[in-house]
Amino acid sequence: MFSGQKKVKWILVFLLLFANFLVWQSVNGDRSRDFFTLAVLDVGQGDSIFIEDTAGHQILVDGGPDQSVLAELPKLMSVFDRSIDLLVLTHPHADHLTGLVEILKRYRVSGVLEAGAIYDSAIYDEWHRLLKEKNIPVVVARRGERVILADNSRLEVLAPSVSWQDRGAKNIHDSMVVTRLIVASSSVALLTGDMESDLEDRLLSDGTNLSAQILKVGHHGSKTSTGGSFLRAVAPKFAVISVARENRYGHPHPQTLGVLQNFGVEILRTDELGTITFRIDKSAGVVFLERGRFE
Amino acid sequence: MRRWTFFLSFFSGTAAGTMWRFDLALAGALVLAGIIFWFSHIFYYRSRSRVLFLATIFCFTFGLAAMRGTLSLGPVSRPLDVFVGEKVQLSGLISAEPDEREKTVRLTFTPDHSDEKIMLVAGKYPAHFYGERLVVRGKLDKPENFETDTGREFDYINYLAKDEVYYLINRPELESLGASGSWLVSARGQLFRFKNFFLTRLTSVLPEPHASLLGGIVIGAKRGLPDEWQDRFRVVGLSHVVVLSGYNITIVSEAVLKVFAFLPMLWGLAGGAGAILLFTLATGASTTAVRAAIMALVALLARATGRVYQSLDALFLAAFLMILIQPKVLLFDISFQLSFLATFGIIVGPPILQKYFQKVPERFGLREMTVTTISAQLFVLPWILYKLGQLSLVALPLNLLVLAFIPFTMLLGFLTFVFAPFAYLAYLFLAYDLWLVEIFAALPFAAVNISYFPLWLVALVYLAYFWFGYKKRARR
Repeated sequence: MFSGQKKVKWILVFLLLFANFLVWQSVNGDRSRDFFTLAVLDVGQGDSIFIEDTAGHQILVDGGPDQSVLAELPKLMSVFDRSIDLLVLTHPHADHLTGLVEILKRYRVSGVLEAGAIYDSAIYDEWHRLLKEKNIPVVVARRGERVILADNSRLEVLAPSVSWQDRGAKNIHDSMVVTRLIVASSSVALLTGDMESDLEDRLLSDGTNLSAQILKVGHHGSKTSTGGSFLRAVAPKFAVISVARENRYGHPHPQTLGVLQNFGVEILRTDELGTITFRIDKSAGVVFLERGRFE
Repeated sequence: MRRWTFFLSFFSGTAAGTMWRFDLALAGALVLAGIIFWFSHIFYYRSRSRVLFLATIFCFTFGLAAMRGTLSLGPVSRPLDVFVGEKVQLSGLISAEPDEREKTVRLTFTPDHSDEKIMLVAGKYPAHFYGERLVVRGKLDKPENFETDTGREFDYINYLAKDEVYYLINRPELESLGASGSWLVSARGQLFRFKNFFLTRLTSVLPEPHASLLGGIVIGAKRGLPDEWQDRFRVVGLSHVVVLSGYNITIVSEAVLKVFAFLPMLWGLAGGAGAILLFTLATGASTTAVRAAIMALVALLARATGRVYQSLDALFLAAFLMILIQPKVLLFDISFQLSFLATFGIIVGPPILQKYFQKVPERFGLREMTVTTISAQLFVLPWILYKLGQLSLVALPLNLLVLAFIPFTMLLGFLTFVFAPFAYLAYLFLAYDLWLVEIFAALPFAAVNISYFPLWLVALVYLAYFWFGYKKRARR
């Protein structure tokens, strides 16, 4: 192919190019941005929401029902970014937890936020086994806690109002971790997990400020969630439903879709659009939907 | 002629024996007839009758092979048969590496004091390992054949039976009793652990599906490659890249051969063979791996010596040994069949096809690769059409585009394991492969389903190949 000397030369050129690439890669790594990103990932029948602030802090709320989150994340993070700052588990059902377990196995995770209620399932046991094995600090979610992000922003915990740690729940949905993203004192997104109407009503009666530009519609658009008065209180511009095409639960329920339509919200569904990405302006907290990908 | 009569009698005897449960008396009669033919050949014809001698070989070999085949099927009714449909409780051992799927894991379970294995379809968590002792509770079932997407019946019963798996328990209740005490089991367990450590290193530096693809390319562990992607690889005719085949191992051994090129050829061959051995151990030395390794050794011999006939002998000898050990692979193991056909193609194809590819530049071994790829493809194609019914129209160009970089990608896989930043480079090649597969699989005519491709047509195509090969050889 090549003579000996030429071969050595080529290998040297190649190695230098490679070294060059490595250097630039690390320079690119800590680039800061002018906007926040919030993406509802296309993970099939389940939930997974990715948040990144202007300084590059990354949060993943739920992981979806299988490994698909592993293929979706690299589309939003740098391909070689192998760390995530915070994982939030809204509740231990497999369609929210499975992907997070896969993330724990493959990424460096700095912390976890969860309700910690007792729930009997093999995957939930595996989750706690891995957290212990990897020595990852776990914060028990309680109303009033705040995750401080760059540029005067935060993710605040609205529910649960009491600690569920090591307590059993009759309906595990009652221990739901509900969070709200605030950017530049503007309320950006309400992340509801599988919150059902009773919890919605309790938040309403507590007088919690629920307003948000983006509503992650509770429980994949099931009719057990998203009551009319709750929706009025949130008054979102976008309603995002995370579901799989032709799922066996019949999500989203037509009744819920009707409520949303009556309210005049723009409905965005992951089964129709794939991953739905929002960019949030860091100074005013205004939300832009990234439309280019599906229009 | 004698040796071909021997091999053909052996193969057809095994096929008959495993397909129909040959009457042992009839097989015995055949063997006896063989002995009588032999005596009359020696004493009456004074060793001058060729026909009689071939008849001796045929009767003797066919009869014995049919017996061996039938015996390998085991008794008609098995001890556990009476419990089928009932809830059972068994203790035993996980006797093969757990096969992880997207949502479940398949465990091969050998109950104590039994050779008949049970496939357990279990949840992924908690994780179980090779050599773990378990108490299993669940409803014992028999596996059933099913229809594939292409309308072919998949003989699942025999596919499992080739590994002595005759029963199935869905979603069993499992209770772990810890690791087995046997040193042999724990030694093999160490091999699997090393393999998993290797794969974990890859997944911790590369994103998905790239990491899983690299695992598939380097050691044939397609663990974690989503079904969606496996379908795509099938559609474009590249499945052999992500499963353990003789191909992976051939690359490793050839690389070693190149490194040892300055030594006498015998040393180089020894080095290549040594590499194959180590590699097989590193992948856990499963039956598939061992078989792939033997095929790779044969291919290595063929390409290092260029001697068609000796290589063919080696190939048939290898097949003979494998079938002797487990007669059921001949009819029921498509991976055995395809690797045999591909290796056969790689041996006999190139000398004949070479002259039609003079226009392909010889640089970078491009011509050799083209000819080899086409030879292998030509020989597996009829069998794929018969068995799977899917014709990939893009297989040939895509194989050429992808295979060219596979050896380098494998090297990068090993380097990434040692020094993580090589992942950047590996990523480029993996992204290239995935990109190609994705666009080619999306083509509307990437693969065509052939609903009817009978066995006689397969035979006709192979006969046509041999006639063509024979004519070309005669003219030379």
